[in-house]
Amino acid sequence: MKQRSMKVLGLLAIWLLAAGIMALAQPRSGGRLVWGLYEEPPTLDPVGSTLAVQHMINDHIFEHLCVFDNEGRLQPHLAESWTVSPDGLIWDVKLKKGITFHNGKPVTAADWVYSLNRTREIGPRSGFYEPVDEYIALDDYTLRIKLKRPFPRILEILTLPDAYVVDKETVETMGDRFGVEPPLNGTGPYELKEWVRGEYILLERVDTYNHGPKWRTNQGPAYVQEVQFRILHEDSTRMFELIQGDVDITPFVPFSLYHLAEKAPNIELVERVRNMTYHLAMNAKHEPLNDPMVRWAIAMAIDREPIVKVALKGHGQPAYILCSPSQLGFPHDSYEEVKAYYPPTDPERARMYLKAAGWEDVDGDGVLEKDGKELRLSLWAQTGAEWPLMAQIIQDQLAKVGIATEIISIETGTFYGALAKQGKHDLALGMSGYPFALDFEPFQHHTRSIGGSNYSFYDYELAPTIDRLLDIAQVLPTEDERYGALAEALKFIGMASVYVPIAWPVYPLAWKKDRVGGVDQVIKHAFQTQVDSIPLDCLEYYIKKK
Amino acid sequence: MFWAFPTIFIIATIVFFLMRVVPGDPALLIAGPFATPEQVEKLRVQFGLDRPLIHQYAAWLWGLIRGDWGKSFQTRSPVLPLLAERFPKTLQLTAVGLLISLAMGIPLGIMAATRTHTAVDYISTAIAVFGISMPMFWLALVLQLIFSVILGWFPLSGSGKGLWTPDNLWHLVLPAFSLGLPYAAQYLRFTRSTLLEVLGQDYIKVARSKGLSERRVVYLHALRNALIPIVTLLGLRLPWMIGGAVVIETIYAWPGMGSFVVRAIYNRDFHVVEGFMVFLAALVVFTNIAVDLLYALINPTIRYD
Repeated sequence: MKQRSMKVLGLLAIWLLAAGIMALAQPRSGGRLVWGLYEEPPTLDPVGSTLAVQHMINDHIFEHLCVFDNEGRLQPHLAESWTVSPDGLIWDVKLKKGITFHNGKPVTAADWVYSLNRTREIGPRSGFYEPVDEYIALDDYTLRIKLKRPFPRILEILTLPDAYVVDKETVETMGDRFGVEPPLNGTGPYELKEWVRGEYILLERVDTYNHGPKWRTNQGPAYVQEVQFRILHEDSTRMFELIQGDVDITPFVPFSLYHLAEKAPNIELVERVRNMTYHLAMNAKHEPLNDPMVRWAIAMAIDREPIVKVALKGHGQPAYILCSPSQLGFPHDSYEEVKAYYPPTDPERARMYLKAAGWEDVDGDGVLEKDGKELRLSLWAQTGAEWPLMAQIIQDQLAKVGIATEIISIETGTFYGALAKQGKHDLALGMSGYPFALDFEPFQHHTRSIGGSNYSFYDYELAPTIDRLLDIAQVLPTEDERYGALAEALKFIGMASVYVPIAWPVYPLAWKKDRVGGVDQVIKHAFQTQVDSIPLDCLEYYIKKK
Repeated sequence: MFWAFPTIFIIATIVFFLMRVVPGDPALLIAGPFATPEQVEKLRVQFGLDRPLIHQYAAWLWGLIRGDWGKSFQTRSPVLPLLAERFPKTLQLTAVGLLISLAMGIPLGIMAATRTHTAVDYISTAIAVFGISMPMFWLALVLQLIFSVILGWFPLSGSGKGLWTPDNLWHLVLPAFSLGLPYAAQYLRFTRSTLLEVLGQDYIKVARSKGLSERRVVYLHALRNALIPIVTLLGLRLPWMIGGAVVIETIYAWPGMGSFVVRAIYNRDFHVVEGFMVFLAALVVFTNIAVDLLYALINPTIRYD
């Protein structure tokens, strides 16, 4: 009898322990999550800016027709389904019923027409929506998208950070104040509660939210009651606030402060490759960079390992193709094949190529000459952070094959504008990227982007082929076909060698692991949303202790 | 007084044209690096940057007079409320910083001047040299490290709830000292040298020969005259302090105008920068008028016809 009682008691104890552990592992509702942000968005009006921090906050408040799931597949969100006409010009999108703005007003197709037209007319990304001819509300829950030409990626494009649904009445009532003070009246899991300019932005949970994406562990409402975004421009202040516990989570911890995060108790720091690529751009309009032999020689002279080790303090990965593994469209299956088309690091061959192009060190001063002219190039770089060091390493590597460079430092705010408009550079160190490789590659490499984001000015030799492949990649009917064409374009981009891939930077995220839960779920999201890999899946995180 | 408004007008004009000369297109910065030339042009039209420069200037100036200081390109909302909502905290930080600098600098300067070549003089000189030579951002970081991170006495950043509330004042301590201490050192040296000069003058000797106490001589007769150059320095240093507040505001995440305007400069947010400069110019002009009036108060023999 006594033995039986002991057994029962033992089982009860095990059951209680298991229940306790399960209760502890369950996300808790309530509390305040404090983000430390390096920058303050100028506005939260979706059409206000292209800043990543703005999108990071807006994604808590507003929602899209479609979103990407953990595997990077497009899934309906506020849309329910869609049909496409045989000619690919008419897209009829059925909207989910029962979705309301925060003030309780139902979201209808008319709201989408207003919002998407507003985005197209005054948004900074209006060019993306160029294939759209017209948005029409067929009835309350059917949105028709009429296209000028077949564009199978239209719903993908409508996940851009300004293509949210907004309430016309709120926008018009608030006027100039829309986006800078509450209410924003979106449809997402949070609403703007307070914005103390320069100090913090406070969001409050919408308790009635109930339409989180199916693949999320939580479909809503969000676990965290309040999310506060504190504006802490100074990196060390942000880091100290995290260590002291007044900030729970912060992105973009500078490398120089990693040691503080690593020494502090209960801080988890992870790095993810960003959807960006550092590159060395060559101005193909300038002699001798119009000679492919010289361009290949320059690319072969670049050794990426020391650049990552020294300039990025090891926090990055050498890049061998002009597409980041974090971009949607990266050729994961054919990576080695694509990479083979890019010049490998080989200084000896670089010298041979330069010799074959007629460049020799006649006077023995270490700088090559041709027709009495020395091989001297300007190397433009931005001021601050890793850029000067990166430029110096490249300068040294090029000097070893006989190319002399003069580093010209330009303030970041004017750097890309100066490259595109003035075109005075020979070489330029830049960094660029975008979540969708299908959009990014034309921006950087298509001849129609010359004078804008293509500062190589390369419009001959392989350029027409690259243009054609990039154009085809936009309109092919299936994703596999589109990515296949993109991979082909990447090969030709490698062969043209007007942009040399240097490194893939990382995105560091640090958080208090004893306070914040669910971040693991957030960062495993394969396609890290539209912005620069900032985790936005606000339905998942929760506060472990209040 | 008459020149106050023409001065502000000239400064506003210079700033307007200077911002247009500085390289960098605000539309390009907002559109991002991957915008097409058409997208950028669309934004330029929206912002009115496609119009002839003289038209832009005339429209801006006319707006300025009517109290419409234009819209921020970044927030798309009017500039004046944006600046006005940040101004109280910048003013608070600058005012308290100034008060600290005066409260520490002038008494220590008097002590150093009245006890020349004593330990008090040498110590205060050493403090002054240290205060003048150390960079303000370094002092701010050191104070933050010692009093917030290590000792935990004061908050690390932010401005607390409200304005002039106990929480707000608690948050203000470190930023205000970081801003005020370097200026305290300047006032200390300046007070010492000015007072020493005055104390050597004949009318001070006469006052002493009449048997007045040293305290009366220093505080009633000497200090009054020594204050005139100090007040001049105060007028000159005020705009410098607002400049210094930019650094302090960034380090302590103090929500003032400084960090906001720095971002505006980087983003070529013309109207915000222009508005801030007009504001600053007005502040300098009216501070100098106030200083001139203070002269007359300190020394009644000074008159303005």
